[in-house]
Amino acid sequence: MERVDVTQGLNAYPVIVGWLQGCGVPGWLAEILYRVGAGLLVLTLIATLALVLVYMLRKVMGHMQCRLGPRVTGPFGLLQTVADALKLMQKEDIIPARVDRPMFILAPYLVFLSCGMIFMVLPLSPTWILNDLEAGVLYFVAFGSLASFGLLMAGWGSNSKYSLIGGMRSVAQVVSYEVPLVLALLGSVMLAGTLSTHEIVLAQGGTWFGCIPRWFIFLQPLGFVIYFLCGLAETGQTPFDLPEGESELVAGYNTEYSGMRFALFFLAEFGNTFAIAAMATTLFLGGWHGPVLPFLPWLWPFIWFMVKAMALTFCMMWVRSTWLRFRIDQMMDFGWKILVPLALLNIFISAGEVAAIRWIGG
Amino acid sequence: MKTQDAEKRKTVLTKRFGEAVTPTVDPDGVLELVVAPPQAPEVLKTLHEEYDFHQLHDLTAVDYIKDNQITVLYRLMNLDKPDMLVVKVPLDRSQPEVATATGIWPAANWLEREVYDYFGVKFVGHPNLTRIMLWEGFDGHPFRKDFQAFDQAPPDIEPHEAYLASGFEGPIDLRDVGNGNGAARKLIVNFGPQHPSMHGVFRAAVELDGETIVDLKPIVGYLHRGLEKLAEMRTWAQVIPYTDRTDYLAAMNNNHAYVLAVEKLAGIEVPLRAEIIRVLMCELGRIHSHLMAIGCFGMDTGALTPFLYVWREREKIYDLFEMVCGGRLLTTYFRIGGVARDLPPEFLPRLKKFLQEFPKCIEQYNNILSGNEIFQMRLRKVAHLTREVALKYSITGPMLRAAGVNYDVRKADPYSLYSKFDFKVPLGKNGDAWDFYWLRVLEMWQSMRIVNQAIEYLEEVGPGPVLAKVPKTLKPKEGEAYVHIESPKGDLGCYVVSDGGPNPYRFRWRPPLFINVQSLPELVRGWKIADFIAIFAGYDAVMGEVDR
Amino acid sequence: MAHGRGALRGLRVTMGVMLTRPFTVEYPFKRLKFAPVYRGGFCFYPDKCIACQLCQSACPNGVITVGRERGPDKKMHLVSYEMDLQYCLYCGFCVEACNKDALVMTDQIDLTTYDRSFLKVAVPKELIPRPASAPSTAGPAKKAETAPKETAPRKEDQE
Repeated sequence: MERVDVTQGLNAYPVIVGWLQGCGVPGWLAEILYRVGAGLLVLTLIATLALVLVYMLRKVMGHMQCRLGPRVTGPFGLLQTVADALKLMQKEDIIPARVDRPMFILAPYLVFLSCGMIFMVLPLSPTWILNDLEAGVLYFVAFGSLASFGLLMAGWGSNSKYSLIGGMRSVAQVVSYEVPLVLALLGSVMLAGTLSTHEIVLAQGGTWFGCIPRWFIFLQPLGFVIYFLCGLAETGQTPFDLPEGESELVAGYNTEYSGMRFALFFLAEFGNTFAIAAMATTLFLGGWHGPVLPFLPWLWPFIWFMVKAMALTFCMMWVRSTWLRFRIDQMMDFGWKILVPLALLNIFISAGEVAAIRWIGG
Repeated sequence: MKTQDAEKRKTVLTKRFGEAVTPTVDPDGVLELVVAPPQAPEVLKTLHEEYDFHQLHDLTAVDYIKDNQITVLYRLMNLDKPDMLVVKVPLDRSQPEVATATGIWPAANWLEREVYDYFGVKFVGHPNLTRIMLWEGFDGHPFRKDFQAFDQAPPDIEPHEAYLASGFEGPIDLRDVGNGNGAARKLIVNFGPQHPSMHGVFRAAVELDGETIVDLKPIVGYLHRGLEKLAEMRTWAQVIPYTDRTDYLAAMNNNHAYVLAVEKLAGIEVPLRAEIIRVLMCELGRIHSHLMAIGCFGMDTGALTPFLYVWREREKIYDLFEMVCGGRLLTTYFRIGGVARDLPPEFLPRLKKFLQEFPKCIEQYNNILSGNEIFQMRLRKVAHLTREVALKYSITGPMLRAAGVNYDVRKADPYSLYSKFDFKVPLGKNGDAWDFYWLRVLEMWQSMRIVNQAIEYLEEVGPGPVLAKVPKTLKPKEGEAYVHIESPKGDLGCYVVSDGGPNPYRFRWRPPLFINVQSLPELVRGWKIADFIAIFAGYDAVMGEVDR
Repeated sequence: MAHGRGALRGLRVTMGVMLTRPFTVEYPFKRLKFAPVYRGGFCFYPDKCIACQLCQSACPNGVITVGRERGPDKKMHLVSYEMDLQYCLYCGFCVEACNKDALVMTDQIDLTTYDRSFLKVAVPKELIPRPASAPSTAGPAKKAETAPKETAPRKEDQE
């Protein structure tokens, strides 16, 4: 197995912390400063990603619907999302009368927080990982489902019937789809033998027979499909967009929100979409593995990671603009009666694969 | 539509009811029974039970102020034969009262409320005799001929404010929803008048138990513009643009109903070429309306893309309309005695091109929407419209045919030139939402067949006049005429009464949707919210027609 | 649950549409051509009008008010021409009624305004030709005659 050493590029942590300590900053403060800086970096990343993804969604959906999408603001309409973000920021902060104020105010932050926390364990490149937790995948699952608390809070706190039904639906959905999602993840975890996202990616390095990359998707096609569908449900994308199904619930849990609070929901939605795609890349598509060219060798893994994640995001948008919405009982049936048994089956398959690899002598 | 064996029936009914009724046969061959108010309920019941008039086609009234009478008119139908019969009940203007027919036909509910609203006729025994189009507290009844519109003082408090001041339905704060002491906790949610999936300003107060609909109360009247009253103040020709604005997705078909009625009343002969053009335009209008219907099915179930594909073809049809009449949505193309102008020379080639492309487009919709398993899961076996319910509520149009009743006015009572065209009437089996959807797709194919035949016919007939000689100010002789056509939404009727003047004395629009929508609670009870939206898409409601 | 083949076929349709040309045009920058009979904003030619009031009587909503008086030559001539466009249905009956093509409909579609009062338009006095027996103003009036007067609201409110 040929390993290209790409870690020499930008190993930020020792460099920055070392530099701060060199400036006379005490060790604990340097550590905190580094973490705060990293957090800000994540915020910027999510905001930028959301801008890009919103533009992409509009363009993709537009062209799929024989429309043009944004064209006027900036070259090719590139600044449209920026203009929208500015508009949302300027808007009056409306809190309707008789809402449950603490819940109403806290909910968008909680949703956004859960989305931001996920980004901590995403291995964007061999060195660009904010915190390589040993239980990274578990952490991802935990914070992914934290969002449903925020959605329920928004639904209850808004004191609107549409919001309430939307919030309830969202919890029901996230709770049921969490199960097959975790079971689908388990296949990759079993193959890699670790919960750390970084090491799962490392385990996918190299090739079989010199041509097929050693990505887990080739061993886990079923797991990948289940994960993808559950990911759609977790982020509330089209076949599972019941919580905010506009033809039924106007806008679901965020009916009463406007301005910046709405923007936070919006950011979180797109951040989550990307996070789900990025996690799928990590677990099934070999993460940042890809051919490294001599030019800027430390950047290429990041580029490969983004390309894969964006391709998956595109698939989500594709599905979003083609399919339609399940009914609530059909959604539940699909989750519990089809996806959960299949995911369980997938665990047996992966166990067999693990055994086979050991037997061959992997 | 004629009454079958009208003369024979006349003697039979005279024998059956004796003095209570005076039967006559009008020039169209429709049997008319004039019944005194006390005998009316009994006669109607007998007609329903013994003579098989199972559908209340229309219920309306005319104010004959000279005779000091308000005549309530029941138009009964038997869809299987098909057969029609009119019952007229003249009432005293000073105290108009008649027993309700809601016990016989539930469809009479809203129709009677409407007559009460317009004429002040009291229907004794009606379960909820309140105004339906105008607001409570409106002074007087506008369709009485002695009503002075500008005597009305504006209301002290706007109707909607009065409603708000009267207290909301249900608790203001969700936290006040009680725990129900073990019973199901019910929530009343207003879908509409402003709601993304309500087609227009329809309001449904839905009582929910979790996701399941316990009950639903449809509320209409938000788009009421008094079309029928407006028509009484216009000349006969000037009414045409108003008919466009009822079901604005099928303006051509509406024009057709009206001009046919006036032509029947005034005895005007229409040039053949004009009539072919009318049929052609009506079928294009039907394709257009059904396109929007299936697009809305997609949108209401969560797929935006098919809706926009549908708009693509809709624009092409609009371009064709624009070419002949200059209007896109509101065409105002038909005139009394023909059509406004002949087809431009580039029209037919473009229409043929459209007809060539269109099957591929339907194929595309089938691929993206009809073939989608989720879509089929959402619609199949959802709602169950039986023949009995459909007849009880006087449902017409694709919904009725979805319930398996073979009734299409084009076949049952061929008006215009439809007897010369070869087409089929697709029928459903289950009466579920899928049938509502799929019948519309099938009907588009049939409409295309008719358009193709119309083009051939048009080329065979060759150029000629398209507008008959009609006096500038038309004054049809005293009388009345009723014409009903198959509009995309259902059986659209137009009843006109003339007193020999330049204006219609009474103009009644039998809106299929207004009557269909009544049956909504019956269909959605027990289904989920999402099903309610899908079922309501099956009505293909256009509030312009419901509220007029 | 069926096998999902239909759903996949749907994905193929959307991808196919994405790769073909969009159907829409960038509306304010590019415009489609209307049919010659399109019923848009009005254009009134005062010099062709013979003040017969046919348009006024054809209008279902009483939008048009034609002011006229008997001139020295015993013929009717136009004094004023007003339209209250907020009640206009754009049905085109007035244009059909006009025997002299004095009132036509154009393909102008930007008819929205911010205020209802802008929708009440009238042909300015100086554009209405005087009767033939008043030759003194022939010069400037003739110039106005040749220029069609748009009664569309946009133009009105600028004057």
